[in-house]
Amino acid sequence: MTIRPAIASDVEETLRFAAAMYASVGLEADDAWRALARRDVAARLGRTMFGWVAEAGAPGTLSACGYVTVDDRLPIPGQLSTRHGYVQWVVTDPDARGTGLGKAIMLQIEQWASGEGLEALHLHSSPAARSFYLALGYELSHPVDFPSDLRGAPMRLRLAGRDRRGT
Amino acid sequence: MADFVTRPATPDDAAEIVYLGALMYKSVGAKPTPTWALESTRLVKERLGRDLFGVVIDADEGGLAACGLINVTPRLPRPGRHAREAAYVQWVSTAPQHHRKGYARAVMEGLLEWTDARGIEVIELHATPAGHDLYRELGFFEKTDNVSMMALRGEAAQDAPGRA
Repeated sequence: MTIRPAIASDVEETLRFAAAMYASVGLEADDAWRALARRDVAARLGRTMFGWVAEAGAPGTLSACGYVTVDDRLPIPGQLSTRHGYVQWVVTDPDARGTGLGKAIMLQIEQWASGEGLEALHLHSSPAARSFYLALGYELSHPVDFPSDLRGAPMRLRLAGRDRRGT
Repeated sequence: MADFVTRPATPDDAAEIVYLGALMYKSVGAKPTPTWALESTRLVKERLGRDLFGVVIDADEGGLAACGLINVTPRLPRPGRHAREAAYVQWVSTAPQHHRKGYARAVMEGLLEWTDARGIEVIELHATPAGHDLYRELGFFEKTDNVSMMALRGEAAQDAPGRA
């Protein structure tokens, strides 16, 4: 499997995966969302957001993707970094599930985030994905106030001072 | 009728904001260091007006009586929603001599007015015990279907409550 950084031309495949993920939690992707998402991915990729994708066999098609946004926070005494990562749109094509692509992308994100010196990675997990993230070392966060319609549980992975796990 | 006014924080408030932030951390047993204070002051100055917004209340005796800050960060959009940013509240703090005057509530209302105007729909925070009831009254809530517990081990153990 080849995992590579996401580039601008991956946006349509990324939107296809994101739409499928939202559909799985009952949210219907419409054209207004597509237009907004297309614009934001183009504007943010490589600046405030980074992504990794797995290429599928056919040219221009992907099997999986995952993105991370860099969040800046105010310093907390004793913490090494003010920057955190927020993971979104981690999706594997149904045909390619069970082959470790999602895990490989998450490990790429983790490796990149450790290299950047981020304090932690955060995400909201769908019920279906929770065991996947638990297996990767994510923990359910301290209770965080958030709207129930996010349909996800907040989880995080601490990075600073953490030993790299073998893959 | 309130006998105080809130105003947006400016970079000139940075040192006072960091002082109030240090009080808040001390109240939960953390140890703000000189290095932390210097770095924090630099970051608050640099980020205010960019991806950080603050509300403060001036104290009659000089300096600030209360402050609250909110980090703004981009988010990928989701269907049916217009928000493309999320916010994380930090350093809502009131000087001890100004407790119990409604300052923290006024600061939080100022912050939420600002996020509403900006179209931000998701606001998160970690509440100290002292702030919990206020946040609840302002509409914040905890997810209750999976109340979490966490153990901090190894080097992270020093961050655990009661260990500072």
